[in-house]
Amino acid sequence: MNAADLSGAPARSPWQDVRQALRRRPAVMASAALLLVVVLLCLLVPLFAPYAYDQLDLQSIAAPPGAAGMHLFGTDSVGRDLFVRTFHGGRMSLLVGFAGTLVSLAIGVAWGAVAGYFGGRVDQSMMRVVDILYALPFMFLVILLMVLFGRHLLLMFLAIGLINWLDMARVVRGQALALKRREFVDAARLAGLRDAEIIRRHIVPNLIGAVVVCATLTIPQVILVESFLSFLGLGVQEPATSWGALVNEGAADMEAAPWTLIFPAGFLALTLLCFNLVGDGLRDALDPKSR
Amino acid sequence: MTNASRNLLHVSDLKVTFATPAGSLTAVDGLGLELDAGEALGIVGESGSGKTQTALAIFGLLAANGRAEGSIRFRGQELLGMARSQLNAIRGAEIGMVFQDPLGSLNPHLTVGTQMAEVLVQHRGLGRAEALRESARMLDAVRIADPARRLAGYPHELSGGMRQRLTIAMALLCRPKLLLADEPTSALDVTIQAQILALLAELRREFGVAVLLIAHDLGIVAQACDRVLVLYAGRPMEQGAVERVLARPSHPYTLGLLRSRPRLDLPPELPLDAIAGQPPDLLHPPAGCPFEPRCAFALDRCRVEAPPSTVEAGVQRACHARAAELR
Amino acid sequence: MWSFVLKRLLSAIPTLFLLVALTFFLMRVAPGGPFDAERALPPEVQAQVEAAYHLDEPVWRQFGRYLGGLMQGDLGPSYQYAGYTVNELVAQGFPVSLQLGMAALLLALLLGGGAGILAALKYNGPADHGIMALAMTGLALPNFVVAPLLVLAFAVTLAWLPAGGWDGPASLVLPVLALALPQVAAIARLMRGSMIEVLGQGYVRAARAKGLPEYRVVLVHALKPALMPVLSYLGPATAQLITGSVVIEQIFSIPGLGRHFVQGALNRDYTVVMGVVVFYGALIILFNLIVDLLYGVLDPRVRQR
Repeated sequence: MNAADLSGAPARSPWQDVRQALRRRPAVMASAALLLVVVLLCLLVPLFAPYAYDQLDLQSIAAPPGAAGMHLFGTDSVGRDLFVRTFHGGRMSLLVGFAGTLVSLAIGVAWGAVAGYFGGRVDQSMMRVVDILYALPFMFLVILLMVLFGRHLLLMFLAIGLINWLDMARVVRGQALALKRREFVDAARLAGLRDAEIIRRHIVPNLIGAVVVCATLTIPQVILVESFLSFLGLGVQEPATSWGALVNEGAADMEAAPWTLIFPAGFLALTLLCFNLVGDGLRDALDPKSR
Repeated sequence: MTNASRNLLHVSDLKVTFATPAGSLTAVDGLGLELDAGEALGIVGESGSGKTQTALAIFGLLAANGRAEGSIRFRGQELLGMARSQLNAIRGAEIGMVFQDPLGSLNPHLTVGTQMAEVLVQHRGLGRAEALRESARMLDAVRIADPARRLAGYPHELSGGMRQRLTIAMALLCRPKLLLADEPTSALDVTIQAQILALLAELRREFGVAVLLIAHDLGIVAQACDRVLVLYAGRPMEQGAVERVLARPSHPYTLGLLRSRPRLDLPPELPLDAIAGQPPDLLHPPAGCPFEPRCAFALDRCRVEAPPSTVEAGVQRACHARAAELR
Repeated sequence: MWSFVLKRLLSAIPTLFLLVALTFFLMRVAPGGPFDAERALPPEVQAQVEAAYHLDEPVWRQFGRYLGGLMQGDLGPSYQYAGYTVNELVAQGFPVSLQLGMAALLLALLLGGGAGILAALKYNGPADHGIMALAMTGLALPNFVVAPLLVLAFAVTLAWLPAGGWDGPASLVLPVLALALPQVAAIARLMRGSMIEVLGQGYVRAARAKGLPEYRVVLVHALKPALMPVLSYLGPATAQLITGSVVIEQIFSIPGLGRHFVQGALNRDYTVVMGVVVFYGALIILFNLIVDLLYGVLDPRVRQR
């Protein structure tokens, strides 16, 4: 434990601590760099590639990587370029990952901050709701939702966000409970700030560290849920695609064209791994006690 | 027969270091001590002075980044570098250990009976039933009432004082020759402390066991020990008979320790002064005497040259100043 | 003890009720019913069918009817599999899913627990780093990615094991492996963390000071306390295994409950979908209760409270 933890008033800014802690963990830095590369590839490849994601190249159907001209990852069973499709699908997976996390962030932070700040009976009943929801098999409900209401993208963000806010709410609530006992909250209260104002101006900003960690670890979970749904054919619909949908197609064709499975599966796993590593690294850096 | 093999425990030139990210930390340096059968020696020092690490080194229980050099002989056998299986035949059987925090050193998931009986099963080869009977007898010896019920219960059901009696009983189960007690009373209330010390003295007589008592309080050592060793920053400052050292301390640090505790036998107008300053940084131990920066009697050479250990009138001391000048 | 059980059982009721209500009303709010799909029935037949299944009644009445049936353990008839009740489908599919899930859970506990203990004992050594790198990778490999890769390797390329179906132990190997792998990784990480913590406890040091051999220190003194966090993970692990079984059963064409669920969802077979959700929901809640009780049995400090 360093001096900053003991005094409660950090001598250095927490971000300096984080940067220093991360510098000491090369695996985390490498993961962050890799993630950046993947994100850039997903953004840029579909823009500059010579093929569109839904363009059929009937001369080269199910061509192995590098066999037919410009198809770096080969083509799928209807002759679409897998290189472009992999990163086009990555766009969708990442988009859902970020958007879904944003939804769970909004709900979780609001719920947790209110429960933690007010404490007492409010806290008890709000956390009771979280406990009850925790016991629900959410994945089944989301599947149900997708089946019943069609496969709208917006609905998917919402449904996936609805699954993952519970952890966020718990983390934020714990932090808020601890924060509200600190002096600056008393000072704000004495200064006549209203509760909503105090939550917004003092509680939420101080939660950022914990929230960033939680969000970083939520993104891969959301991507996982999306891939799961798309794999079952309940998520993104043809010709648009995502990593889960590509893995599904690849699994169907893997005997004849194993590359259609391996590339999307590899990028999906790599991305999940990197997010997990970065999240763990951030947690270690921001919260030394949890080590 | 040499001196080393006649002693029950003979530690010489013990050095304990820890590899830390910031460098090598020297917790104990140049420690020597002798303990005869049935004798009680107290090791006194502030927290961080290396008392506990000395005990752990004797038991081969240093943390993974710790390293002990020098020599620790128990009944003539060298304990440092001894194979784990050989060491296991000694610890718990011939040397018993009592830890500072009785609750923390008892397994919350196992019954008192299991934790006691396993010692006898391991070292004496007794069956479980026989081991439990023997354990009950030992609980009786440390004045724990209703042993049969206690054996079936769990540590958390006992009071703080009872838990420490229990760990003492556990350490004595195999009738060891030596009992190592690391601050056995500092987690307890004052009244319980006195009871535990009285119990220790009594058991010492009853079982003829030698005691190495680690304490941060001279008063406890005065009550329970024949001899005392004063440690500072991992180095021995003074060692001798308790009456002698306490009545006429020959080291400035001992003097400081004595003056910093309230006493009823001194005139109240004498100021109660804590020793000013901080112990040295163990990552960068000083070349000279470690106590020099805080010492009222420091000479010029104290800063550059560590005082050698000398014996004067039965008292071993490490100080450049003359004993007669300390007043 | 019994009042604790009762209290936990009672607290499960609102959760279960919420689950049933959510599922029920979601299905009723959604556009489209089970019998107005592709093949348009003549109106009078449609009305007849709907009357037979009470679909012509007001929604709240249908909900009451469903709840009433549920109280007696009746999950209603299937709309798609004519002549089958949902109870029959569950009775058919669940034993299969149970075998799959139990085998995966057992594998995850043994393999994950063992690897975690090994890593903790070799803390910071090469074995520890290797196991943790594997576990991290395992966590990043969802079972619907592992499953086709396993099939590709062991069924297609090497042809050692069947790629699907449900006959004989050989057909169990790949699905169990694919289902268990993420849980193996999670349990290994959990086990390692808690074992490292326990090995640093005073009572482990005291056990060593008693001269006990290392195997006894680890297996008798450290294992039980170190297992407690793993135990409380069993609730979420079960939920994840059940979810995972949905895709695994799909990939390997295993006639389990998860497969009925996906088919039911795609066919708008209300009662089958509801039946599976309610059944699995109850199972998860029950399992959490069992874990809580086990916790009490295993930790003497909780037991006495």
